[in-house]
Parts: sequence; C-alpha cells; structure tokens
Amino acid sequence: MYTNGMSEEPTTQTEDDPDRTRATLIQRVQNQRDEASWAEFDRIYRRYVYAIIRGMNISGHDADDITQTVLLNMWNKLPETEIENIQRFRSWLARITKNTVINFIRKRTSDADRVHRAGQEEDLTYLKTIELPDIEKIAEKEWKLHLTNLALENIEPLFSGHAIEVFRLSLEGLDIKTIANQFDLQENSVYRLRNRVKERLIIEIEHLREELE
Amino acid sequence: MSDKDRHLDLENHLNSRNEFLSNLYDAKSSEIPDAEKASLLPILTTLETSSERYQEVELIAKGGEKRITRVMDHRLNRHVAMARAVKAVSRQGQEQFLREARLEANLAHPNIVPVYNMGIDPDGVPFFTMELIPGDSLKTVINKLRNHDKDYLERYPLSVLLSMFLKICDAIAYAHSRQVIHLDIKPDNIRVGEFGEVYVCDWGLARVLHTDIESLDTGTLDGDILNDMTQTGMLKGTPGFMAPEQTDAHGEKTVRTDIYALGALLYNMLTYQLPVVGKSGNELIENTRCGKIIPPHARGKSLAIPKGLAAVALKALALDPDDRYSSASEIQEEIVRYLSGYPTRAEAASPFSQLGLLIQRHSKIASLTILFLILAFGIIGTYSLILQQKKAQLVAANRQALSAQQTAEQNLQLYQNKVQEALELNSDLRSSAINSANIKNFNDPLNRLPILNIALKNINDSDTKWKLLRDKAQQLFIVQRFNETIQCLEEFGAKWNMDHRMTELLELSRKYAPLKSSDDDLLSTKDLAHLLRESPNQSYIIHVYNAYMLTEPSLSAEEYLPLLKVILSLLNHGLKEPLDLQHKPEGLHLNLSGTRYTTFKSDPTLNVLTPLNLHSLDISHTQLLGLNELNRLKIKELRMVGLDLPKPYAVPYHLKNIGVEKLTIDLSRYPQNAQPRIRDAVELLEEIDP
Repeated sequence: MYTNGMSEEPTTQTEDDPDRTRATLIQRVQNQRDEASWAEFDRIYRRYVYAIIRGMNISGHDADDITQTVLLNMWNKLPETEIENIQRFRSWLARITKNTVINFIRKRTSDADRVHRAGQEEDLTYLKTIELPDIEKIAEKEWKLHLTNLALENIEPLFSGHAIEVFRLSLEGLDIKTIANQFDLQENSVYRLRNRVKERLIIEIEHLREELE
Repeated sequence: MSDKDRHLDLENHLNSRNEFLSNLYDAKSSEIPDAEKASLLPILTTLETSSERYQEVELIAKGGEKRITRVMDHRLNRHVAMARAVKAVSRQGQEQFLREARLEANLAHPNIVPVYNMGIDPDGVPFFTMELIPGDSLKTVINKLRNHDKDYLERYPLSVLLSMFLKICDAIAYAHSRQVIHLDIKPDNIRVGEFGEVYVCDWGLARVLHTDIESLDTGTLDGDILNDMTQTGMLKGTPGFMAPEQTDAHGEKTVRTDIYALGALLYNMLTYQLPVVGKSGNELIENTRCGKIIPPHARGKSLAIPKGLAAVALKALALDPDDRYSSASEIQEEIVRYLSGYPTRAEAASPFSQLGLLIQRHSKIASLTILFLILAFGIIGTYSLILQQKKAQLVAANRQALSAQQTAEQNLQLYQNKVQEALELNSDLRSSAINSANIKNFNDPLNRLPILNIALKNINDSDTKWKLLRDKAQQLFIVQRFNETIQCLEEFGAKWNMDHRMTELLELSRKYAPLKSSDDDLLSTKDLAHLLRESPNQSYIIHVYNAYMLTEPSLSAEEYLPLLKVILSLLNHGLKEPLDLQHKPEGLHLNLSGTRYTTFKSDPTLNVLTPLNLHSLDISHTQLLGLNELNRLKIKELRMVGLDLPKPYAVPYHLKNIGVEKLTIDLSRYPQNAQPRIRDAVELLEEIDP
C-alpha cells in the first residue's frame, strides 16, 4: 500500500495479518480498478509521463494531450497486461509513451496542412530515430528526478518553511554561512535544519522506492 | 480542474523540480555521516559535549548579598534567573545564601518562585537558579499608582490588587502550613506578571518554626539547618512592614508576625502609604513598637478606601499579636467577604452599611440608586415591626431586621426629603429596580422582599413588574410564606401568563399552605422533606432548605434525618445512599464509608451535617471533593481511609479546624512531609496501609 509522506515509518508487511499483505499500487490498479487507486496512480504517474514527453522535446501543449492519451491507454490496458515486476512496468510505460507520441505526431501530420508537413515530417523522422533504449534513458533520468521531488513534496508539511528553504539553498550549493546570514539564523541551526530535512528526505526516498519500484 | 489549469499545473511543476535532488536517489539512510547524525540529536549531543551550563545574558538586579542575572541554561535551552552570592566571602555567608534557596526550593506553591538548581560555579561562587519572573515588583506598581500613572491606574484597580493580595495570602498560608514564616513580606518582595501571576520572593529572612516533630523524611524542612543561627540579636525586617515584635531582636516571631506584614501590605495597597511613619528609621521603629498606626482614612484624601477593608488591615496590624487574625486564610476570608459584597468581620457593620452592601452586591449602582436604598431602608423598619408583632420564627434574620428598625426610626425624619427626591426620580429608580430584578439572588429573602415591595409600588413598567412579581413569589416561597406566595402568583396570573415553573410554584404553595396554621409557622421537617423531594429541579429549592436552617431550628437527629436524606440527594445529583447513624455512648456516629457523596455543603456557610451534632464520622472510601466539605462541623473522631483528596497537604489544617481528636487514616497515602503534621494535629487511633 502506498502511504503518504506523513507516516514516519515505511509500511511493513505484518506476518500475522494476511489480509494486509501489501499489494503494489500497480497491482491494486490492475486487480481492482478502484477510484482511489487510480487517483493515486494519476497523482504519481501523470507528472512523470509528462516529464518524459517533454524530455522528448514535445511542446508543452502537445505533451499535455499526449499524457492524457497515455494515461487513458494505460487505464484500458493495465488490467489485461501481465507485468511480472515493476521494472517491466516502467519500460512498458516508456514504450507506450513513445508509441503514443509517434501516433500523435503521425495523426497530426496526416491531418495538417501541407505547408507545415515538411517540418513535422522532420519531427517524426527525429522521433523515429530515437531508439527505445534512449527513451528508457530519458525515462530513467526523469524517474529519479520525479521520485526525489515527490519525496520532498511529501515531507514538506513536516517541516517549517525555513527548514525546507534552507535545505533547497544548500542543495543549490550555497554555503552554510551565506544561508545563515540570509535567514538571520545561527550557523549551527542552519546546519541542523539542513541535516534534519536531508535525513528525513533520504528516508522518504527509500520508502517511496520500496513502494513504487 | 480544467484542461488549461491541468496543463499549467503540469508545466509549473515540471519547471519547479529541483534537479539536484536526484543526487539523493541512491542515498542510504544508514550511511549518513556521523557529524551530520550528531546534529540530528542536538539535545543528546549538547549533554554529551557538556560545556558551561549557564551563560549570562543580562543583569536583572543587584542588591544586598546577591546579584541576579538572566542566564541561558544550555542544558534545558531556556532562560532562567540566576542568583549569585557575590558578596558572601565567608563560608558562613555563603551558607546563609544557600539556606534561602534550599528553603524556597522546598516550598512548592504556584505563588512562590520555583528554585531549579543550586551549586557552586567554576569561580567558587555559590549560586542558585530559579524561574525567570517577568513583570514588575509590587512596589513599582504601588509607586506608579501613588503618582497617578494613568496606565497603572487602569491596569491595577483595587479589585485587581485585592485578587493579588488573595494569592499572596495563599502563598503565605501554604508556607505557614509548612511551618515556615517569611518575616519580610513587603511589596518589594512580590513580583507581579502581566497575566495575573503573583510571586512571593526573597525568603532570605524566613524561619522554620520549631516543632516537636522529629523526622528525617526528605522534603521536611529542618529548622536546624535552614534557620539562620549566625545573626542572633540583630534587627531584621523592613520598617513599616515589620511587626512590633520584630523590632525587638529577641521578640518571639510567629505566624502572626507575618499577619502583621500582610496587614501592612493591604494597608499599602489601599492607601499607597506605609501604616506607620517616622522621620528617621529609629522613629519609625519606635512608632511601630507603640502601635501608632495612621488610620487609613487619614491617608487617602483622594482615595475611596472601603471601610470594611480598612478595618481588616487595622485588625491585622494590631499591636498585640493575639488581637490579629490567627491565620492568613482568615484574612483571605475577609477579603472574599468584601469582594462578594458582605461586611467584613472586622468592620463593626451597622445595619446601614449592611443594607448598603446588600444592595451593592445585587448591582453596581451609582449615587442615585443609593437614594433608592435609603427608601428601602425605611420600609425594612416597618416590615420588621410587622414581623415583631407576629410570632417571630425566622429568628436570625429577624434579629438583623430589628436593629435595622431602630436605626431606621431615628433616621426616618432625616431621610424623608431624600425619599421624596428618589420617588421623583422615578426613571432612575426604575433602572435600578430592573437591575435588581434581573439578578437572581435567593440568599437573603428577608432583606430582598422589602426592596421588591418598594419597587413594585413604584414601577408600572409591565416588563419589569412581572419580573419583580415572579421574584417576589419565589422569595416568599423560600421563607415558606405560602399563602402570600399564592396571593402574589394570583396577582401575577391575572395579568400575565404563568410559565410551568410558576404553575408548579402555585401548586406547591396550595398544597403546603394548609399544612401550617399560618404563614408565620414553619413546616415540620417531614413535610419540608416532602416539599424538597417534590420539585428537585427548581433552582431555588436548596434555598428553601437554607432559609429554614438559618432559623436555627432545634432538632433531634431523628427529626432531622428525613430532611438530611433529601438535601444530600439534592446536593449530590439525586444520589441516594444509606445513612448509617448509630448511637454510641460518646455520642452520635455517622458511617458514610463507601458512599458516593461528594459534597455536604448547601451554601458556603452551611453544612448539612451540622444539625446532627456528630461525635464521630466515617468518610472512608467516599468521593468527597475535599476535607473542606467538613467545614462547620465539630467532630471528635474521624475515620478517613482511602480518600483521594485534591490538597493532601492541607489535611492537618482541616483536621484542626474540625477539631478532630482521634483519627483513623492510611497515613502513607499522604505526602511524606504532611505525615508528621497530621500525627501532630491529632491522636492517631489507627494507621492503615492502603
């Protein structure tokens, strides 16, 4: 079960309670198709899919439409698709995304005005040259970025605005002293704040990876 | 979410992602470096790398022996006040300094500054730390008041000063219960915070009174260690606040020495001046010794000093300790009496001031209303004449009315004109009558009734009139004047609709009136018990009982028992528990053990068990709210096992009050330091382990 960032401990399987055996989000979506699971799925994957598509140099507006189509496709296909493990799910997702993008451009090309055709053919050619491993590379990079940002989003409510801001600035490479000046804080307070957020974030990332991978 | 919004959201989100974060993707929580880990456990790390615990922040005060600073306590991460014995060079001086802290640390009371820690600092100077008290000293407050500081006059009206005084009395009463006398109570040693905090400070002169108890319990104050033995034969205290016996180095200091200072403090709050004057310190002390107290009214020309309070201060300031109040709680009771609008005991209250106070406690009335009171006063006289002609049964109240009558007659002529004036000022009269009608007060029907009668005669406003009539009916009912109640309600019913409460009142009156030969008679206890049982929900029903008890009926225990059962049930939310009353050779014994009664008081001054004249009582395993439920009782033998009392340390005080001589108690249930004092207060019959 996916738990949100407010929980302190990763959800663990309890041996004496078989009903609470954990099903991954994907399994829940596959098996039950309940709305809550879908909402959760949407929350986690919509942004990710959008990020992949934008990573393929598709304009923002098109990317939104394509993302919608990808999610619809998955909603249709997931229940019948056999996915042995989550690694497979992500490459499946990347494949569906790539195909949807190609189909989208192709459809746009056949509909569109001749004047623009040449340029769009170019796009298509470019897209066709992208091999699946490349997409998987994009997908992999985006996944790391997506998951870590999701983790930070999850833990934000646990900390003061100060703490999160201090942490962000230190990520950007600002030194403790500068940050301390900026916030009118003691240096050791900045150090402590940064480390507290960092520690909690790492735990959250571990937890999300356990949940989603 | 519309498509556009969703798109914007996705795009914004994409752009706000932090690229650096993905570096943490493979981080392991088990691999966080130690240095970073340490900063995650700041408290533990601070304690482990213990450096200097206290760091001075600023000076708060300097004086006498010590220097008080605000310091940061790094261990607890808070600011505290630290006193350092800077001037005490000799070891005796240092001991004396620590003595105060040790003593104060053992007085745990909300109005006494808590001491946190004591020790010797790296420079070898003894110190102690205590709570950092914000705010002014009372001396500052009174100085500002004397100088007509507008802000302070607004913040500290007399009522606020008095509530502070009550808290000071609390602290002193507690200290006295621990056998500690302060000996230097004065405004300078009292700190007041912004939110009503009041702290009695500076216990440097305090003494532990020697008692016969030999006890090595921790927490017991040992006078042999804590008392200052080094400076015998020296005058200590603050002239103006120190009692006459303190001006004599060898005078005996007792609890009443503090009472004198409390009196001086009250005097100071009322007049902003010292009670004694003198051109020099010696003259001041000489005047103290002779008891030359300047009467408060001679001090405050621009001040309205309530007579009742002035009388309390003067009584506490009596030259002879035996003439003063015997305890801080006794002064406290006086202040409470004043605040609730009753004359203080110290004030030899004339019927005039009693009536004045009576009206004052019904409403805050301006000068015009006083005229109304004068009018009321005349009527009380006539009313009590009528009462006198009849067979006077309501003895206690009548006594009061009779003396009022005499005074009233003498003054009748004098007030005639003012009465006329008051009548002409009908509108003001009406407003005060409305005030009076809106306030429910069933405590004093005999004084209330004449006022209601005047008001009814002079008021035609129907909205007020029906309230007054309803009030009158209830007051008449409370003093069992059922026929008059019926008359009153019929008058009411002719004009207005009666609500169900009034209908019930009418029915009850009609039912119980025939049981007596006239309104002047009182119901038998059996009939009265019936009556109480019949309308348990009426708000005035307890007052019917109270009014009856105020006539001081002489009743045998058997006669009283049915009434007792009902009133106990009324007071305890309908609870009905068996009353096990036994005649023993020494007297009556009441066994209430295991009952669920929580209270025995029908009024702060009335205990429903009093009429039984018990010799012994068993309240074991009851759910009594506190031993003050036994106030007003005189009991020789008490058994109290398995009680959970809210103020266990006050047990000896209550035992003395009740006059208990023999006690059965599970002593180990009580605080260790209270145990010897319980043993001391009574003869322990039996000790039972809980």
